[in-house]
Amino acid sequence: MSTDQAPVGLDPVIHAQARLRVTATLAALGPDDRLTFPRLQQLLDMTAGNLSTHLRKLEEAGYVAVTKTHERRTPVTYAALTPRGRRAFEEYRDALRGLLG
Amino acid sequence: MSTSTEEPGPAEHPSPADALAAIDDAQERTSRSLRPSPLGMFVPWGLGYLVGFGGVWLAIRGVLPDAAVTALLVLAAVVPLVSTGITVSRSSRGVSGPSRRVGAQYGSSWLLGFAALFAINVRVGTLGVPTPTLSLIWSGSALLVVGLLYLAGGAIWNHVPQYVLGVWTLVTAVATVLVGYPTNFAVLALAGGGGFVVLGVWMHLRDRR
Repeated sequence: MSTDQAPVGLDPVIHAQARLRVTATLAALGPDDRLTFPRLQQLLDMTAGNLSTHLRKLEEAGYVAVTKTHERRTPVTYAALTPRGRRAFEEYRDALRGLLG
Repeated sequence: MSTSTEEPGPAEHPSPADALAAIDDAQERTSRSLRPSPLGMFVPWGLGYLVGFGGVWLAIRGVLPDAAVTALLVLAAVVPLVSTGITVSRSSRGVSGPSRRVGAQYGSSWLLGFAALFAINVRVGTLGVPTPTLSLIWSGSALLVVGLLYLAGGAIWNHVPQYVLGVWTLVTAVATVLVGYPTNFAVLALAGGGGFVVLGVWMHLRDRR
């Protein structure tokens, strides 16, 4: 089915409704800033399972760095865009604009 | 659980126009959520100025008893302070990194600025300056510090409305000194407090758009 494929020139890792929202949200943070999993989930209004799935795909592509740490003995998971992910996002957005002329 | 996350259907691949719209929407939503609400910061301080300095002005004119004004002033400082704390911690919840440090340094600037201001003005007050003059020194210098910090905040976060608020505060600082004592309290309450409320509501409406 051709609709399963991202149009030519569009990064297939980012070009899916949920993942482009995750990427755009993380790209809206300041450089080198990270967001906890619950806050990201709240901003995106996604279920934890859904968000985990998409974060894993973005992490496998090297676009997102997920770090687990402890703050006051509570486990905290942070997500951030990697420099590579930020570049990929900007290229993806430019490609979209290019397609629209 | 939907399987669409594993096997993307047609809806998973939006058109370029929809994708761009989704990006704009997500980024807009994020910046708005990460920015402290003006209704939780500027508006409470504006109301505090209105009530507190308005109270002082009425007391000088003999309309309000001094004890009532002292209570009003405490209330006018504590409520906005608590509201600001809650608003800032809510907007910065879950964020870590350089922007967090910038926010902490900016917050400390208020504390440091006002600590120095108090030290200077209290010392000047011991030198036998007449009350009307001392009152003008206080209103002018305090609003100068507030105005400069709003200008800095507007510049740091690229937030034009906050910069406008800073300019307005500096104009008010000069106005309090020009009108003289005790009208400076009316200017503090109406132009200062009223201005914060009006600009705070404007910022809120502008961010909503």
